[in-house]
Amino acid sequence: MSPRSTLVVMLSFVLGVAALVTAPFAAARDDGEVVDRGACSDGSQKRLRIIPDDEGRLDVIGVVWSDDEDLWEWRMTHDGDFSAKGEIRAKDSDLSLRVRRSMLDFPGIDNVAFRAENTRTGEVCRIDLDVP
Amino acid sequence: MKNPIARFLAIGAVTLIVLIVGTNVLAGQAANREALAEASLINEVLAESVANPAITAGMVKGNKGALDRFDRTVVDRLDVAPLTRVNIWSPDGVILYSDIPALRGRNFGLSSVQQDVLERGGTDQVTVAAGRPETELTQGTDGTVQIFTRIEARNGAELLFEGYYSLDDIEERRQQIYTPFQLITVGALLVLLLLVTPILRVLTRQVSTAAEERERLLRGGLEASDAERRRIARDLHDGVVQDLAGTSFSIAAASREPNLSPTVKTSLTAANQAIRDTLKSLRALLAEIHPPEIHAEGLAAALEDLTAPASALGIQASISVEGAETATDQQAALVWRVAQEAVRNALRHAQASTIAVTVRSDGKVLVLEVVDDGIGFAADAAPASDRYGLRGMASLVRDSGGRLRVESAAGEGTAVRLEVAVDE
Repeated sequence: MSPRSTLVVMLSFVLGVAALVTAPFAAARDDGEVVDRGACSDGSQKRLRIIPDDEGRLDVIGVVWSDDEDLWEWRMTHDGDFSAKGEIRAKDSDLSLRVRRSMLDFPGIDNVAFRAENTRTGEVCRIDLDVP
Repeated sequence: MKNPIARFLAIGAVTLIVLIVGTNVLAGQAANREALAEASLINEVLAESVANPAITAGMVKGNKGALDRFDRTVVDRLDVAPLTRVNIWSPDGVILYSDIPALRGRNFGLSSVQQDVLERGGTDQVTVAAGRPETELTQGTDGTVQIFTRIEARNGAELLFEGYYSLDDIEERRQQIYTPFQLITVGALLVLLLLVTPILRVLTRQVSTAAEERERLLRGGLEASDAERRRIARDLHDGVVQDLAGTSFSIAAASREPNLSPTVKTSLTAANQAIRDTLKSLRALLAEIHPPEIHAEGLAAALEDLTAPASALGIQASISVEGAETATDQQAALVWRVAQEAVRNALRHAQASTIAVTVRSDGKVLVLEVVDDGIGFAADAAPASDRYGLRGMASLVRDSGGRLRVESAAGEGTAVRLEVAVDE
């Protein structure tokens, strides 16, 4: 193997490992369910889970683990168009808030975004997924 | 079928079946129209009261978020039988909203019916024929009715609300509408039949009683008449006939005196012959006034008496009786009565030169034939009295389980044939 080829292989390996480590934690399962999770702007955790059903709809579930009982404003968009919004206070035992809405499953890729903002601290959790 | 009630019930049953079939068809058609009209009404209500209030400007533009909101608002309220599928069309043929994901947001163009409804307003429908070639749009719509209703959205846009309705559900609804009518129609007819049957039974019994009474009176009249005839016949037989017979013997004895002149002898012989002819005629008259008690073994002699007047009229009569011994007295009497009527007609009207009366039996069927070579008659040209006599004979024979046939034609004589089964 020439020094040039060795350099190319090494570089590919390093870049591949780096991509796996730094990519957002998003995964798609065989049943079409897609999930993404991560951290919000001020330490809270967020997750967006989308489950297609048999009737041509998407079951969209947005969750924020805020570790407080503040009031949060939330909003969902479908391909950038406002689909649903509301206010919610974390009341679960683990101090999380959970929003669940149904959306239509259109032919092609549907982009669904979930955004929640703490009305007291201004912390923002935003997450979006493409559903094939 | 002689029983009038059985006949009425049979006719009633046939009528009932015809009416049931007829009302089934008519009521079925009416119920079908009503069920489809009901589906159209449901479509209009869903379009105007459920879908229209939830339509937004964003939805008309095809914005997905707006369509999500529309779906969440109406989805539960559109889940009604017999609706199986919903499409909402834009005027340019795009399906804005559909139960079927693959159809959402796609342009299929509008059919002529859809365009017509969109332009004129109101509601129209199309039945999706089973077996029609399927397209992506019509896949899975076999056995449904498509109903279109125009929606005028709040922003002024005109959309088309298309509902697919299951024909099975419509058929079920049709049955729901139709069954009470069927029960009313069939039930009413059955009740009528049940009510009329006992009434008819009572009326029939009354008529039967009246007929029995009439028959009893008739029989009484006949018996009285028979008794009177018997009395007259007996008087004639014991009086005039005996006197004439005695006179005949006396004249015959006188004519055999040896010292009489040939002229006187000839006159006495002629007078005696005249008296004997008169006696024959008188006996025939007696037989007619009061038929003798007929038995099989005396049938030939009774028939001889019947044809006795023939010789006086210059008609040659022949009698042949063979194998009639097994006949019952009733059958012998029937043969005699038919022969009496046939011989009487032949003597009075036929202008015949010969009359042949034949009775024979093969042990199974007793046959009487009275054949003359007279002028005959066309079937529809017999004198009224003869027609009555023939009818009377026919009726008598029918009642006795026999068969009577009269064959005649103008100029070809007449043949009367009676057949009656001999009891084994």
